Amino acid sequence: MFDFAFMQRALAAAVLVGVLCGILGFFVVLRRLAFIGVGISHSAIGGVAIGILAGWNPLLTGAVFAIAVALGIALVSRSDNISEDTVIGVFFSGSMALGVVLFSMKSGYQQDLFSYLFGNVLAISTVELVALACASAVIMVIMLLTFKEHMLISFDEEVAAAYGHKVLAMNVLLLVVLALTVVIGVRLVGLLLIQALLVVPAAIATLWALNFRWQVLLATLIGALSGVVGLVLAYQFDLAAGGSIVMVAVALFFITLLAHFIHRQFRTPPSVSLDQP
Amino acid sequence: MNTLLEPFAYEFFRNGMIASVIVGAVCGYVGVYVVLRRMSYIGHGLAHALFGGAVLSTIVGVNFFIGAGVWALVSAVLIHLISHRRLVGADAAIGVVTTSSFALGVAVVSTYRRFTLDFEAALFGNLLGITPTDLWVIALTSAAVAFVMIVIRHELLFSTFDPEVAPVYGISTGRTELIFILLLAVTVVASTRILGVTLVSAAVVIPPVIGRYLTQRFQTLLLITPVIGAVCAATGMYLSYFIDISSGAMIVLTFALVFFLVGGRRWLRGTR
Repeated sequence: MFDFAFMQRALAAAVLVGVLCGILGFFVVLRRLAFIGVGISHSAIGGVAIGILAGWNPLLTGAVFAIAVALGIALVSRSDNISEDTVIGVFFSGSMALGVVLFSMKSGYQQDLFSYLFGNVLAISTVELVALACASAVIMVIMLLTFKEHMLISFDEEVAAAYGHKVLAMNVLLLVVLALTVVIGVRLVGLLLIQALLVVPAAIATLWALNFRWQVLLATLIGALSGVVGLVLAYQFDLAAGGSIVMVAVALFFITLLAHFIHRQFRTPPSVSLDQP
Repeated sequence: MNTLLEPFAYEFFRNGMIASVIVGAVCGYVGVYVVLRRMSYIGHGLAHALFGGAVLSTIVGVNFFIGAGVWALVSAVLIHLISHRRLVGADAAIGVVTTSSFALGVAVVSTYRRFTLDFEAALFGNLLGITPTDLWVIALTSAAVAFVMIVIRHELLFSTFDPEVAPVYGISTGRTELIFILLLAVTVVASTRILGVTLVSAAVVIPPVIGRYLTQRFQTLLLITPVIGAVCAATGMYLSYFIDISSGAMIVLTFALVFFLVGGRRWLRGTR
């Protein structure tokens, strides 16, 4: 199956997106950004629709729009007395509706819309793959360079600020990078499912309770592994690639959860039962 | 004048209009507590999880309301249980449960070979497909949700504003939350026919926020939010007939527009 050029490209994209989502997902889970991840990824569909109608590159407009929404969410939830999760709910459903309305203005939109919502591995071109690889490399370098600073901010924003770190700038950077990652993953798993690749591998890594460096590494490995296995399964059984990649990641999560519980059962010291009357 | 009344001559439009008013009102009412309890993510997650149930019930041939309803109630209980464990962060756990159900739906749809109108309707809603039976189901479930909400209003209010003191007065916050999340699940199921799983959370979240902008009193908020929801939904529905775009999206766009108008007016005045 790897003789096909499209499969080779899809495989490269799966590894790339898996690794990238693993790194970003670590921060998403650590900083409890799961819902903002949903908000950013879902609202990108508004930007994609604008791009298609205006004849620009939909991935570019999608990225710009997603970044704008991320900043808008940060701005409104800072300055107004509505809670952040509510602001996310308002913004993403608004831009989602905008996207659907704009798509429906174009005839024969259904196929197009669905390929952005659920991914379309056949649409990955070589040029795009190279662009995605460059963007991912830049994101990874940025995240690794600012890793320590992000960790410090994750644990105590006030202390980090007292030590002279630019907390606001780093938080904005994280949101921007998140928005870019979402768009990078759109061809592989689609805007509605990219959230799963951010959260699930990182959640699996948390369950193993290793130190943070190992968690990041494990999350990237699991991300890439579920990308590749999911893609192979999708090819064999003729499934949607995005759905099957996420299903593999979720299966890994539940296996880990089971292993975690069994491990905990065995670890319980026997002396506890002796204490009971 | 005739052109303005023209849509009401069609039965499908009248059904859709009634359904969207009911859904707008009940989502707004439930949404007040969703926003105050900061459960927006759970509402969104429930809607997404529902997609798996909707797809499976279409393929197996079970009635949508029964299949998706059972699926949503099970997901609601799961989310409720998981979000109280300290194993993984609550938000990550909700993410895992809901995306797995959603991805299952996507994978199953793709084997089904026909990415047809049924699934588009599950995603974005389809007002034209509202049969009189659907209308009855939507009306009765919404009435039931509103009734239960009114019956448990004291428990809800107390556990929302002071979850620590409420148990002292004999209110089980855990049980109240479970009941509420089940009610939310039922509301989402009743609304997906109109708005679809991707847009339903807008109807739950946006009207209460608009209400919050307009009043500071809780009782007033409870009264005006369903009205805002119903009026916006009716307006969106009505506009979608003339502009010829998906009615679910048009309804949500109306919500968003009103939100930006009301919010923008506050910003201009500089009031907080």
